[in-house]
Amino acid sequence: MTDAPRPVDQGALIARVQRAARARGQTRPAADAARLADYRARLAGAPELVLAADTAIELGSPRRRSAHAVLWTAAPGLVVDDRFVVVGPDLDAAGAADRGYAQLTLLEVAPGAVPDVARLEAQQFLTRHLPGLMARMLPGRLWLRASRAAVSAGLDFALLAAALRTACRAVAPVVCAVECVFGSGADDDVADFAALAAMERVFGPDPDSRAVAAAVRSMRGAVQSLFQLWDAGAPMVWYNIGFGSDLVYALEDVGPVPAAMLAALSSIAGEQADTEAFIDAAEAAGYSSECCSADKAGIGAILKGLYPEPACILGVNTPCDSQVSIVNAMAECRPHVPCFAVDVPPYQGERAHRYVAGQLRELIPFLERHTGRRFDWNRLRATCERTNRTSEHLWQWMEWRSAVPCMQPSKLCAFTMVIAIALGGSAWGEALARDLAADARAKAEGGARYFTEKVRAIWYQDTVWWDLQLYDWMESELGLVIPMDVFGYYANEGLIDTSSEESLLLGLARRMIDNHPMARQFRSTMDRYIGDYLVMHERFRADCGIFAGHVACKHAWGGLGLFQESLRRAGIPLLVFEFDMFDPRVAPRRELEFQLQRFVNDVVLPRKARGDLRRTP
Amino acid sequence: MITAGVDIGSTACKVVVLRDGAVVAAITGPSSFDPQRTAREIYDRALAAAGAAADEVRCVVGTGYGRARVPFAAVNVSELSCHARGAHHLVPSVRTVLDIGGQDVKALTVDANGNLVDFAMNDKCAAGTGRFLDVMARTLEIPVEDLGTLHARAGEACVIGNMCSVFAESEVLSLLNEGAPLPAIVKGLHLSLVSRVAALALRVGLEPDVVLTGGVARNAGVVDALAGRLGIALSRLPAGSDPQLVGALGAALVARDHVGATEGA
Repeated sequence: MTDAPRPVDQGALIARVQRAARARGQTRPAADAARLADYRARLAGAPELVLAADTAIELGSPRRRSAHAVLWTAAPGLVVDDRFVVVGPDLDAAGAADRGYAQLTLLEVAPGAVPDVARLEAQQFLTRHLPGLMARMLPGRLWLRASRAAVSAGLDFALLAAALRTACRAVAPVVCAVECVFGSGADDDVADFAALAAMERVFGPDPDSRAVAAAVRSMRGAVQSLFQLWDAGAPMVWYNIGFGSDLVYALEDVGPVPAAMLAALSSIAGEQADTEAFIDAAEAAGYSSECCSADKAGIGAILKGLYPEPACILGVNTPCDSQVSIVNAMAECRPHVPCFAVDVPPYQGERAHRYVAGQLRELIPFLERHTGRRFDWNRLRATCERTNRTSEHLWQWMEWRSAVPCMQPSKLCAFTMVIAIALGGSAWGEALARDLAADARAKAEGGARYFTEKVRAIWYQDTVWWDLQLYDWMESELGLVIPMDVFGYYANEGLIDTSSEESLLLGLARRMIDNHPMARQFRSTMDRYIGDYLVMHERFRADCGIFAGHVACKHAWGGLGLFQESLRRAGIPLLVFEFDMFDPRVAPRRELEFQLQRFVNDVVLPRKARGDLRRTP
Repeated sequence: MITAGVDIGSTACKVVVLRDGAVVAAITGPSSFDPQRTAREIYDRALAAAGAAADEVRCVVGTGYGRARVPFAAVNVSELSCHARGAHHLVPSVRTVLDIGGQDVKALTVDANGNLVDFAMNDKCAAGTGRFLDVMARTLEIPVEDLGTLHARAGEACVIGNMCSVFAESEVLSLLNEGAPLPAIVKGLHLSLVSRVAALALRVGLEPDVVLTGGVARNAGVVDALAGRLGIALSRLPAGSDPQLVGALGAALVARDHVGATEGA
């Protein structure tokens, strides 16, 4: 249960690199120590800085592809010491003076030894200590310049391999063998190694970067697409967060604008102060302070004129009173823009699905009329198929995240809510879901861990959007990991039957009612809210629950007593605290840390040590 | 073997010294802006009362909000665990501990071994805390120690709808102006306070036996009102036990456990 972080043996990846290199390149011996010493002596006193005018060859400049990695294994005999493989011409060969560059350093370490990967990675750049060779370090890029004097003095990859071998052995005595792979030709020669080096990052010492980067990439892509449509004069559709974006994506060249978008973007990737300014602007304009801060921030952004002007407005009266408020606000702020409000009934089941599906059918001609875009059922079908693939990726992702210990950061749970609200039906949403699952799988299979897991909790309620690093603190300080949260959980009602027009609309309606974050949990009675928790608790093998009580979420607070009682009867510890998901002024991070620390250290860990927690047999 | 527990609360600092598991000194003093100095002063007084030298004390455990400011404490343990431990020591059948402190109120559930199982607490506002009664006693211009006696004299209680100290004070002033009898107002205040405590107790699942601890537990009026509100009799602490010292007692017991575990290891 409490695995310590450990680097992962990369033998399988090394084998792939060797296969790719040896199939296309030449294997040669590295220079011996005498030749290396002779070269250094001949170039002694040469300037460290290699200026463009003195450059004989440039490798991996920003104009070209570049890749580098240090890979290690304890498997004996895999890495061939004192050898290197070069794909492409050597340094002294005539030809293009500006080439792509790949440099992969393969290491064998003593059995049972754990190498200091960070120190070894630093050696990749120490080639600058070969006189006449200058290495420039940029994120993800190794960029070398060799001077004319160096090439004249015999600088080649054999010398570079010898220098790397010496450097690695000097800093890590556990290194038994060093083999290098160089790619020095056209960009295509480097491309394969770039892909393999990227795989190294999945298994490497910073394993969370891939999934977090995927989330940022998808959000950035979606926003850039929106800007492109805006610049092109395409029609925009505003909608509140109770509405899924799928139907809007089904219209060609129409920009979906979730009204709360800037609350999330400014808190996650911009300035938190902006979110607070949006909230203050909405309250100053008379909107109720009791409204949800996501909606207040959205209203504030509208009041400040930060969104592209809408061709029409879509509203839905679910899941909460704040959603009704923001629909009213959008309509008030743009009184001459047509608004279509979908009414979601309080009851559950097929009758509710048909009622909403009927309204979605009415919505289609409304959208056609006001966006000027023709609705295409085949396009809707393709969008829904993409939504289905997204759901399937997310289900796989949940399977991986249910493993103990958890292999990915807790904060990733939050991004599935972003998929549902802003990216549902888009290529960006599908890519993010696929990358989350792929990253989880790679880490689970590779055994990568970067924190010691002591306690698993289901985070039940809203994300702390204003400081996602709180989750990193929870992992490192408390050993508390969140394998899944309430709004990241994807129930299996999510697939859309794409066989007919009617089934498409019914499927979308079902998703809006039964799958959409908050709509699923806060319509009708608390039965589903409580039932989902108990399912998640078992499925993700949690120790406890955390009710992160967003102050404006009156539905959740209203049912808290029933929820608490259910968990108490089930023998599940539950932490309850108040905060605001977009506004740290309600409860600052220090207060949340105090609450989490006390709960974990005083209740959960002692109970877990005594075997006094409900667990899956 | 001598061990000690130091409980630095928001309004009082409490120290209990144990010799071979028996209480040999228990001292309470007011908290100050300098918890470190307060802890040292009260601790020194407790050692003097126990007739023990500092180097005879095998382990000191700090608890309460100021526990991190007890430089001579070997271990810091949260007040939740210490109250559970202390209450269980005094009343082994206890399953629910309600602690009304100066500035917070907590409900704890404990298992048969005195381990903390769950808790709920209000540490955000003065409603339901000793501070609420302090403010009301000042408004009524009576010593806080007289509240219990006045409560016993009351017939019908005045209805005081506000649990918030600020709004309840306005309500009390209105009642005084209307000529309401003082005992009825006091009883109304107690009923208002315990409604908050009872809500917390129900959140963790009220299970007998129930013990009330904290300085406010000395107020017989609050004990009476709480029992009435919960519909159960509260278990009494053994004669001579001070409910305000339960946390410090628990800390001293944890210190004894700590020595035992260290030596056992």
